[in-house]
Amino acid sequence: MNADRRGRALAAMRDAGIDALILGREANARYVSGARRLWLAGARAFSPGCVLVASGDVHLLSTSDDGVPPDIPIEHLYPITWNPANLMARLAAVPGLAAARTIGFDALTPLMESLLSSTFPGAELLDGQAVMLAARRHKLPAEIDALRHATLVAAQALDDAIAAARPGVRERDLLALFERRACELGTTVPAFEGHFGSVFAGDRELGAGDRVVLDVGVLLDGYEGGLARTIVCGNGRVDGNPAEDLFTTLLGAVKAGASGADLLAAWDGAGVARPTQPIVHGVGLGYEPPVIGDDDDELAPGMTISLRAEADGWVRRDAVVVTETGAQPLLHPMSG
Amino acid sequence: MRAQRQAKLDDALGGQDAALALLLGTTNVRWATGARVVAADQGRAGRVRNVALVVPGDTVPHLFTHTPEGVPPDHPTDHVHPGVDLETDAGAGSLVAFVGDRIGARGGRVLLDEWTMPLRAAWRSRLADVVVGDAAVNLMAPVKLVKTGDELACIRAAQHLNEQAMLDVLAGLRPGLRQCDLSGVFLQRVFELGAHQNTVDPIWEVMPESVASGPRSVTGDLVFPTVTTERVLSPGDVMWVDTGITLDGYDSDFGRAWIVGAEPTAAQRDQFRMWREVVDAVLAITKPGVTGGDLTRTAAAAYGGDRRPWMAHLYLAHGIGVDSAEAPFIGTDLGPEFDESIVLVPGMVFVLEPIAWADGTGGYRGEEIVAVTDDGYELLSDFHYEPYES
Repeated sequence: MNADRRGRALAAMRDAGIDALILGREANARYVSGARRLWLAGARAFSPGCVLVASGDVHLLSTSDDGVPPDIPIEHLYPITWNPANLMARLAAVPGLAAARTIGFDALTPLMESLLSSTFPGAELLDGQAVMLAARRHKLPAEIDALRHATLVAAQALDDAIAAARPGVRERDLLALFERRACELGTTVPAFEGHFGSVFAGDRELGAGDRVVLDVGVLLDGYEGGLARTIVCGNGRVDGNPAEDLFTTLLGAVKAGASGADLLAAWDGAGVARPTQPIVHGVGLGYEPPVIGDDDDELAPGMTISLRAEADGWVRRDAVVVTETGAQPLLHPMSG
Repeated sequence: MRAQRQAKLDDALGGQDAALALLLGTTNVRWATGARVVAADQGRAGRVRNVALVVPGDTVPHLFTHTPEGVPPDHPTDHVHPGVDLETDAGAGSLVAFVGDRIGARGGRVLLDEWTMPLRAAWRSRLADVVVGDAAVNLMAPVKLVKTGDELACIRAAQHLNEQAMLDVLAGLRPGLRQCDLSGVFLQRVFELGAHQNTVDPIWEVMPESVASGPRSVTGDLVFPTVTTERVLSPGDVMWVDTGITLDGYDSDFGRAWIVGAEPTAAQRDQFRMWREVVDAVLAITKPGVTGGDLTRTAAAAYGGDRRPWMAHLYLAHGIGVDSAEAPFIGTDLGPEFDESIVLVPGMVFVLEPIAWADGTGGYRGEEIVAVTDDGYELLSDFHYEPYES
């Protein structure tokens, strides 16, 4: 999978006329390198964490070969540094980078832009994020397998949280149990810390008959598995709730060539008020475009998207692979 | 707490001859606004990030948020705006238009902590003549450096919660568990105890028999941290553990060495003793006016031997606050002159994390959180050293 992903990134570079990429976003670094590095929560400022040059060589910010695939030789690793001069010297020594006339970045900071402009005075600094998103857009079969695996872990851990959602249990106890189960199932890294009745799972105790929305996501080998369900405390899952019907409607509108407008039209046709959250977002190495509600992007086969139906306080969310004629769920069988 | 921060930001912006600051980074925005967001992976966190626009003279920054549930209730509603997705041209364009209106006739440069590529493009097309400086270096590092009493209390509370969870992890530690099982116990406990988020993938690194037999290292030194896997723990494994959570916006940082299912040998106790001597020596000189260089020299002298008591790619100490590692960084590859330029003042906080190492022992690594006081220091961490010392 690493070589195939890297090949797609190189092809996207060629299409965009970009000679090299300097990447700071972990998902992009993962895509081109396959390396597993320490997970940290939140959006942090750009720092050059991974370099891909036109020859296909990857150079990676990593102090050791632990978690680094064997096709990246240790000579291509550079250690963490606090000294910008050391970092720039290391980048300048990457074969193929100094000669690059165009270098793509997935983000920048004012400081890094200034340093990199001085280090690579002959290069134009361009948008590399669009290049990476183009490469990542259509999933390889191995990526879809990884997404299925991640989705299954999320679903299993959520099942255990749902089983524990009895009257008197606090929201945060459900989050705690979900996180524990995800770890036992093999991933210690969330896509996001889940919604268990509230956006910030808190001290509130569930009461019998409370309707509770549970929305969760994990990353497994970097790939996102996530889903949302709505339960009634004491009764568990409720068949035929309005989000289920809306989800079915939305799913029916997904196919190659469908646009964001088509999906929104299907939603509107169900007579349900539009939600504040996007009704669709891409899933892959985390959260990806298209974000329908914000973008107006056409679906194509091999894209993996998360559909989120929300009606009258009920929510259902599941991820699917777009096919020529429709959509195939990532979770088999679709659990209610 | 937030009024003090706005005043600090105003002063710093004035000193930088800057009209505004635009903040995108999760922790920078958290510091500036007190607003909470859902903890998420970097990619998702970027798409649904909070954004703060600091205008000198305002009572609080303008806050753009996708998470209204996390806005402090007293944040004036005319300074709360719908979230912008700065990974899209539309989101970036609307933010740049808003910023352009606020710059208006003020002129002057803007400090920014990160460009998304759409933001950079929108800025170049709409505000090309506005000079942009780096907010991380020129603004946020200085304003975050010295903590208020409230901030120290927040760090202490976060650390206490983290330590409570680690007591439970240690109590259940036994051979046959996997590293990821320890993460499971830890995460369950921190959320039961009320942590606002987990901040770093918990680390349970099993130390190698020798530096040479461990993972290959670019520096030739020890490798730390390595990422948690499903590795099964064996009797006698020495683990360097490192965890961190966030509570009320502030981070904890827990570090200890533990031994799986065994008591330490005499040689292993010696490693702990050497680590303890380094910590004690550094603490003994810690007070206002002392420099980072004083700390590194004292640590190296206390440790003796042929290496410094910290790893080549890391540091002797780092700051902590809304970031689990922030300024001051002491003992880095910025070199001795940089260390010498760091002068301790009351309210500065650093995580002291020396190591001791001898092949065949697993070494020792522990972290202590040290707050500089008017005449010395106080510890914000409080955790035992079992099984090395009971």
